[in-house]
Amino acid sequence: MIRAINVSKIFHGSSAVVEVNLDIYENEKVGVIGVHNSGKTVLLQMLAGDVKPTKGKVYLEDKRKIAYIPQVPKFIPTISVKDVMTYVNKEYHYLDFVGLDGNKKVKDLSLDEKKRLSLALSLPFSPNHLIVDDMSQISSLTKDLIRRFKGGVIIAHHNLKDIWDLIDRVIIMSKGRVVFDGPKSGLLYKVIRFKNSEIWERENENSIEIDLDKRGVKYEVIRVTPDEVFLYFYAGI
Amino acid sequence: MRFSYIFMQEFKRSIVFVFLILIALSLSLIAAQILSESISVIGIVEGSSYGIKVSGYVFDFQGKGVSSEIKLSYYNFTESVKTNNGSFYLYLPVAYIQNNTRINVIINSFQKNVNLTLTIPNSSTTFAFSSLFLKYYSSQNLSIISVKGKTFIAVDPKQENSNYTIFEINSDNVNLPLDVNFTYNNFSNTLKIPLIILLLFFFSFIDLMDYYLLSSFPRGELRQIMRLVGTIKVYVGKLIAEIPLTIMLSSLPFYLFEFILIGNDIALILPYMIASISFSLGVYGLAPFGSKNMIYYSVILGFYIVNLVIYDRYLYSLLATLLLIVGYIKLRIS
Repeated sequence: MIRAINVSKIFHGSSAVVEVNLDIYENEKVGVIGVHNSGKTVLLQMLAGDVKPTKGKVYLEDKRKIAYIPQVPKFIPTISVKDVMTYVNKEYHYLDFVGLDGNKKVKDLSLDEKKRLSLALSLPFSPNHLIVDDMSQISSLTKDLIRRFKGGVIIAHHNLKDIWDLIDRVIIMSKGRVVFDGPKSGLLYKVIRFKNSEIWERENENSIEIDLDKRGVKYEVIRVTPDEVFLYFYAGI
Repeated sequence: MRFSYIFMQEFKRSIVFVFLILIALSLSLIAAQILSESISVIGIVEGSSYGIKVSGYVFDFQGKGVSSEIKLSYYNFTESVKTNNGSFYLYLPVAYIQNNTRINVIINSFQKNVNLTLTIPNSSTTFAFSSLFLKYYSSQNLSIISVKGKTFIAVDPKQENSNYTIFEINSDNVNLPLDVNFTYNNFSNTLKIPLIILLLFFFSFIDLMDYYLLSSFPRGELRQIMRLVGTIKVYVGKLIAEIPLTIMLSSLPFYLFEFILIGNDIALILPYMIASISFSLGVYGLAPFGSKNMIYYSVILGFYIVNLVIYDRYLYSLLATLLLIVGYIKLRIS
């Protein structure tokens, strides 16, 4: 389990993460959602044990048991994928597992391939958590690897659409704070439009429709995506 | 096991820079070749109302006599002599007015032309000139030049009892002329300048090599590897992999220079070897502060170390190795 207790991070006087409390279990699939500069990356770096919080504590067993895929993984560009792997281990079959050509030079790799190389480096340590920072330009192969990962998964991304099928729990961040933490079903809403008004209601509730039916008011039910819910309720908090 | 993997990977990367050793060796060779074109002359001149006598020996950097033409001129009177083995004697039968006039001794040889202007304060004086020497001292009654493996001494026979033969010189039987105030500090060494120029070249080579090999620290290219195998293993593994190349770059060119010009005298080049190894370790410690910063700070470090060498305090340059710890701490906290 990864536990963050009252964690804050301050860079040059400005707060990137403010008093975050989290428990992430080994079987959980968590999506950390937020707009640009909301503190997702810093929070993930702290959860991975790469950055120390300014305040609070992050408890984790062993850094090596957390496979961390940074937003832009960096490796020595002039060496081959196999050589990068050799720095850590000589178990090159992990490169085949993530679908990488060992003889390819790092400078010739796409961002997606670099992310898979990051994963391959961690696999010999049998990680029980996988932390992925940003899912932009991710191939279906990488997505499939994340889906099949046995253990806790934390994915940071700027929208829910791209990672919806990979997660069960959503943490929404805004201005460094956690503004939503719950199951992804908590972000399923519908909009009920009538006359010149609209009401947002959770998808599994229908009290508004019943009330409007009783009053004989005509209305329209519109399905909204979780991203629209995120932007409407949480992004600007 | 992983430590050896890191070492091998980094060693493979650093081996590419062997060409720098070849360039450094070429530089040493060129410097030694240029300097080996030097000549030295040592001798004694006597001026009296009977005439001016000059005798001496012209020799190369190895102490071998050089065939040359020696010309003595005093006002409009000239006398010249040719020598094949370097030894010469000249007599100009004109009256010499003491303390007042100068004589010119011109030496023309295949390597170099030398023009010496001498005054004779008393009846006689020793003289010496050398464009390359390991040890040099010149006064009225005693002149000394040391070149590769040989020391030439000119003394005024009137001031020195030379009626016995010395087979082995030691502190008991050295008999210096009475008015010579002679200490080791009187010796100077022209080879210090080319050696320091070479040292500066090698510093720039080390900088060049380190820019390519160590920039991976500040660029974060080893961050994930350090996260998994530990910072210390990567830091030390990389350092150890670089050391053989640094030692070769710091010693082989200096050794070649020494072999050609000095002979087997490691003590003379040891300060330069220690200085360049210290510089290399210091720059390694600066790497985590950023690629450009590493180069900027290394220039300052380089000048400090060169100054320490100039003032014979080269052992203090070993303090630069403390930067290794500073670099490690910086890497850990960033």
